[in-house]
Amino acid sequence: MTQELTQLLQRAGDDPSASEAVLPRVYEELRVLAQSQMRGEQSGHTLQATALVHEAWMKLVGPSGESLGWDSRAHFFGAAAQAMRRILVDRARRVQSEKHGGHMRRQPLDGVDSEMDPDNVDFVALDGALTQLQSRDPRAAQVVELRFFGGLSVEDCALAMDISERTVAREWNVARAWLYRELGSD
Amino acid sequence: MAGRDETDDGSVSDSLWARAKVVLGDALDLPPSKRRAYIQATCAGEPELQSEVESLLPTEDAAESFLAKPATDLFELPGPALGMRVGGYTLRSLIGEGGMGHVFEAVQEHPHRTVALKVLRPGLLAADAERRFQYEIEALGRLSHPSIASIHDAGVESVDGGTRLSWFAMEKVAGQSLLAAARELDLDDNARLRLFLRVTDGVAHAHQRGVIHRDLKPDNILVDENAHPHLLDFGIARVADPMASSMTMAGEIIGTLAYMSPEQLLGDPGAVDARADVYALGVILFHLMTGYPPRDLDGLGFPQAALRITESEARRAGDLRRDLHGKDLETVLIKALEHSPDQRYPSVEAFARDIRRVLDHEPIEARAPSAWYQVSKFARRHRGLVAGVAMTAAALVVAVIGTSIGFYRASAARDQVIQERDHAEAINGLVTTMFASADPTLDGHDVRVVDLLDAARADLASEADEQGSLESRTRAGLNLTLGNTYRMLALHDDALPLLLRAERLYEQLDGPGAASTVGAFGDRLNSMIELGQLEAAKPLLEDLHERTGELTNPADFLIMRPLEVDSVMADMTGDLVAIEAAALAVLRGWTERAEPGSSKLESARVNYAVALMDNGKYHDALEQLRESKRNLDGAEGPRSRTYLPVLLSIAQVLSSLGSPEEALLRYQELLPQARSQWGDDHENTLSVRASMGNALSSLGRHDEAVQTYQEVVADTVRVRPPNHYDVILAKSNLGIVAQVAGRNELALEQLKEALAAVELGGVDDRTMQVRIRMNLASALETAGKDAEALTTNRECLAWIEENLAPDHSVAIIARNNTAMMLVKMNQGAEALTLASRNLELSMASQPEAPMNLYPLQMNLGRALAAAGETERAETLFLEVRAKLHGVDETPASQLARLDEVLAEFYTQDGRSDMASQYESVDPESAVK
Repeated sequence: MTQELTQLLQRAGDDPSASEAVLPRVYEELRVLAQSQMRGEQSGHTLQATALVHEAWMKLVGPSGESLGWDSRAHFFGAAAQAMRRILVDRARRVQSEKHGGHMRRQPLDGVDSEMDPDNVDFVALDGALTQLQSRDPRAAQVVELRFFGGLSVEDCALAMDISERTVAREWNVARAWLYRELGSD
Repeated sequence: MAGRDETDDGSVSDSLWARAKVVLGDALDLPPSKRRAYIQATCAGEPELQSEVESLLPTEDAAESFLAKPATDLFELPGPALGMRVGGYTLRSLIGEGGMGHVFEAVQEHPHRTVALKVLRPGLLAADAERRFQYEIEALGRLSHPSIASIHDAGVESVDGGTRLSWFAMEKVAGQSLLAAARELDLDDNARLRLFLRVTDGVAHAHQRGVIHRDLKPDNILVDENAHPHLLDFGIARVADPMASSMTMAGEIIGTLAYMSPEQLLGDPGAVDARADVYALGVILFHLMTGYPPRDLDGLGFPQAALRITESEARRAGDLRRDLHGKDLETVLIKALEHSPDQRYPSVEAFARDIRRVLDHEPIEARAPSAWYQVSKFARRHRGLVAGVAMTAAALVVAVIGTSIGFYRASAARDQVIQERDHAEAINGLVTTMFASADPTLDGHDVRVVDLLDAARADLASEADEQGSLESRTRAGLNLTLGNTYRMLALHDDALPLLLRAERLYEQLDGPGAASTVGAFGDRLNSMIELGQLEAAKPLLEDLHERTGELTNPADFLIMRPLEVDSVMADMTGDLVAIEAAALAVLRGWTERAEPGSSKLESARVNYAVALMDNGKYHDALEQLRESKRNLDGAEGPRSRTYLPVLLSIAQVLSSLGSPEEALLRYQELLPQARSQWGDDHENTLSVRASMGNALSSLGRHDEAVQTYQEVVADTVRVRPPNHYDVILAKSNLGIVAQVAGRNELALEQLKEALAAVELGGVDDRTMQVRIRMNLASALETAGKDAEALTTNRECLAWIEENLAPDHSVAIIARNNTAMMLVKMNQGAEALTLASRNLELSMASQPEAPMNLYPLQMNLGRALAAAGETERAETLFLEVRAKLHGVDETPASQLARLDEVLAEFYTQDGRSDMASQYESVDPESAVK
């Protein structure tokens, strides 16, 4: 099983279908990890994206992952960030439907002067906006996914996407500005 | 879907966005005050672009922090602060911080005392965590041991903003971490070992109550000024996944990692058991004695460190301290630090016992069998056929040796005990609490169960001596429970007196015809039979049938009891026909009463399949086994106790059907599982090992086969009395494997030893002796002592004709072997008589089994040839050959053997041209 994922990751660079096959595995693993984390089973502490991703890496790929190059790891972290996005958005949807008797309704952001605490982010709306950005500008959207959902630093993000740190920073700034406009004015 | 620009989205073309992005990106690199001017200048003449970029330009400060923190930060809530009052304690200073929460030094005013207060880290969805925290507090409350920091008080507190904080207060230990304390107190080796033993006492105390620490490390062991250790964080680590909790701080990760067992790092956290604590204690002791950890993890990141732990061997203590090189302490540490949990000490107590032996200069157990292994048993059930000279030796070895053993009995007995244990639970809480805490090991090889039992038995005995307070019924229940548990562990000597006492007590209480009395009687009878008291048991068995029949509305297990005991009896007498019939009766009984996939029904089926196998009905056996596997897959799956026996038996059938390669692969897969489920020397594990030996032998890997069997013999001899069936069987099988390997001296030696063991008595199986003698004859022949071999064969045959049915499998083989010996010695006429009779009898008794007939047909051909009936011989040979080639499942080795015989036939007949057609191209057989 681990072996299989390692092979998928090795192929992921050249073979998009392998890359896609990685995602559900990572998603499932992270979902389980995140669920137990959020239930507080393992500890009450912060659900740290990077820690989770590293743990999932160890669990899924195991020691054989050491032999994988950064390229393969990039695919993994990319998949992990996507997985994290799904987990959080799913959770937000559930919370919303519970709060509003099943009706899906957008929650407006608090006043513009309130600090943008992640807790105040409407994940469902953000997900919608990010999907739009994805179709318009996939690279910018991926930066958001890795940085915000995957918890990757600018440096790691640059490595994962094989672009310069400066490009990451620019994409990040522009994408945030665009998303902020989309979300902030309901 | 998002935002005011829904209508604009379509109109913002990709190229516009691309350009807006460049302008915006450049603008955002500038200080905020200069951005607007830059945009105006750059977008001059392009109002659409300018408006797009400007609308994106963040105007509020808030935009600066938008998405700045990773999404997952939202799970963090503020924790308690110094000075805050929690549960009547004032938080004074932070002592420690871990994944689970914070530990504060806190003060209570009335009465005045200082405690260590642990507060669960609040989380967004911590309700469940809180509940488990409470549960663990209760568990901790049950632990009371001088080496475990005691808990004073616990509660849940609502603090500002409605955050709920769970907390507990425990003894504040003034001391320092284990390693620092040992240095500070300047302890010598012996003092260090004694200090460590006090740590193991605490851990063992917790294990007996079902609490596994999982995060043992020197920092969790504080040592006071009197060199007494106090374990902290007990139970907490059990809830927390150590991996996750160790993620909190980079430094802490490696600190904890060093003490984590490989299975904790890589495996399913749920599968981690007490042996993970054994490992952690091993690391601690290593560090304590050498000053260094067993693996150097300095400067490594998380993945590298994990890799080193999971893949590299631990250093030896002697590498770091020359004076420990080759010493017992080094061996003890190696065993505690074994990579695989199965190779480690099975319990902390076992580990501690060896350390005590090191202190007392006594021989350690690390290389010797444990108490448990002494009681394990091997291959009682197996009834092998005996290899004949003339048949393809390798193919026969497979049929001869190591089909399965008494899985059925073992697991049925276990079921029964568990059932009765439940019953006893109602009677008495004391023993059941003890069993409950030992429950995970009931299936396994943990010595603790036996320890617990001995303790319980001693309690019970002293209580009886004092004419104690227990009610008769309670005492009866305890005796029954204990007796049956010993019985389940195959400790029948221990079981018998307890079961007898239970039976007598029930008889006094309920009368001889009561279900309770009859039940205890059945259990006692079972143990008697397993102890080999067959003559005494026979009339009692009839009695059991009768008394069970007279019960009103008996429970299923009571109805089945006589049938099951019949089956045990049949096993012990070695009558293959009776064994099969008894097994079938049990299977039918359970088919009516239990669900498919239930352990009772499926173990009954496995037992029946084994009997079928012993009788050469491999296809029927395979069908039963596959049904078992299907049923188990539909129920408990691999978690079922019956699963491994089913897989093993399937492999054995496949091996018997001529797929030794596949069988070997399966055995190799099964062996680690068997070692882990039953222990190294358990009969079932030995059976896997023996089967591996058979498969290796069939594959022509003779050296490995002999070596494997020599190990099996050595282990069996160690755990069994010298006249035990298992010993006899193992030696006789080694003899056969050795003979096939061409190691004739070893073969003769082992067969003679097996024969001598039979003559010691104790095995009520008269065919056993004749089987071994037939093998001996075969070895004698190989040794060139043809006349002696023939005499032995004739003697065997004479005994058989007098004592066994003419178509008994042993009779068939004896007749065959004698005939082939006669062929060799040119006494064709007599050979022909025997061979014809043999074939006739076999065809009449098993017309459905052509595969069992073909060697007899082939040998009839050889007898014909020897008697000068060349034409008839040739016709028969060619007929058999054509038939065999038409059957898919004919093993290649058998086809090769047939061709060899044909080539020999033509050569002797002077037709070398025909002979060459059948001569093997295989250089190995050519040499032969």
